[in-house]
Amino acid sequence: MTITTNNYEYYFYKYAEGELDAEARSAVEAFAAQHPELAAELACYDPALRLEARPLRYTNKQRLTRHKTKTFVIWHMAAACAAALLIGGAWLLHLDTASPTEREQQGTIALAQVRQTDATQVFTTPVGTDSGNGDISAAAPAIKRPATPTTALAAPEISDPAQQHCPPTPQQEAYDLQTTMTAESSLLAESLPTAASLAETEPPQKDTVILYTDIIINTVIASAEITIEEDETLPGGRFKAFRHRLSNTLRDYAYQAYVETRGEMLAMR
Amino acid sequence: MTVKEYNDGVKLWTDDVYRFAARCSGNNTLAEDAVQEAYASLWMRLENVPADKGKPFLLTVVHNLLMSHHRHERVRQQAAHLLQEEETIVPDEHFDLQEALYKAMQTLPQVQRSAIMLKDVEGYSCREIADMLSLSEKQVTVYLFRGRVAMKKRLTALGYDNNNQ
Repeated sequence: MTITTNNYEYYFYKYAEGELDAEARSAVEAFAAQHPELAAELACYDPALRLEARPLRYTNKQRLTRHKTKTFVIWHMAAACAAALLIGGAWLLHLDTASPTEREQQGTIALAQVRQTDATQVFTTPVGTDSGNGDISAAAPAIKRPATPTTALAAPEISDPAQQHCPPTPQQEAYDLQTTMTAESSLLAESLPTAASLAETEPPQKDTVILYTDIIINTVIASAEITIEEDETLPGGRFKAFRHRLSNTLRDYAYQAYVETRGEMLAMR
Repeated sequence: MTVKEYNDGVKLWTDDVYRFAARCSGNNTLAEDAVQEAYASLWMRLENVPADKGKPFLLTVVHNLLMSHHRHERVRQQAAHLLQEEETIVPDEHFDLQEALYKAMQTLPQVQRSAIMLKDVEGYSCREIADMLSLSEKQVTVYLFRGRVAMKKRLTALGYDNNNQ
């Protein structure tokens, strides 16, 4: 233990409070004898001078108390009300912004997604970049033309009236399917934006075209499947081949519609 | 600390915390504000403060608030001015030693006031005071020594000696 002028207060306090052993006390007394000016401080220290705890009351203690549970209930209620308002507002906003056609399309998409076939996978391939110079074929590589162009089937001639009650031949079946598909495509193609309407707003984007095409193809396939499912003469393997062929045909139609619409728009500019 | 322990603490500790704040600051309004601030701070940290550390936490917050107030409002100058007016008071048979001690304490720096109050009135050890004031135990003993010497000198200047007791 070394008492210096830097730490003497600590030892003086311990000395005055009687917390030092005999050896330490002797050291403090020796230090005080060597430093009379500091010894005056030790003499001034009076351990008997202590503050007493005089009572002092704080009024309004009740205002300091808290009730956490009530606060939590209020917060939970507020959060529930806010969530209900948010969901209700979003739902109403959606109803206001969605036109009847959009709602119908959304319902159609939901139905088509249930009946989605592998034919839709061809439309999920990455879309090529548009060169911006009107090169349409480069702008839509995702919509591939079939290797062999689809040609219109000639209506089979039914010479014998008795054959009208016989099961349809494959040629007759194919003709009926193409007729049905053409009618469906023409009907649903009306939901596509016209060139004039697109020119008033913005050019037909590839993503938009693919979206519309997807909607139409899913709708056609779904409606065609409803009809064909009732045909027990069509085996399962042929059914899958039919869907693949149908998707290729519709893809071709979509590509043609895209080319024509974009061409009209560029001509209007 | 639970809500119940907090509310129980309000009943048990508030008077002591308020006394500490009022005696240290010499200003009852400031002391009430400090107590409210301390309890608000405790409520915000309810889950982090154990029940047995509630009162030391409150005293620490009050001390820090008074330290901040002391720095900004120059309380020492006000106290010195107050004591200059009291220089003319002559101790007589009705001399109240405790009252004189409390007034003498007002002349001390805030950290010395807090250390003496926590030691004498609240009965904490130097180790506990060091934890509450974020000091070392040695620093606390030094502040206690300096504070008591200064208080004794103040009382002596007022005419107090041991025979007045």
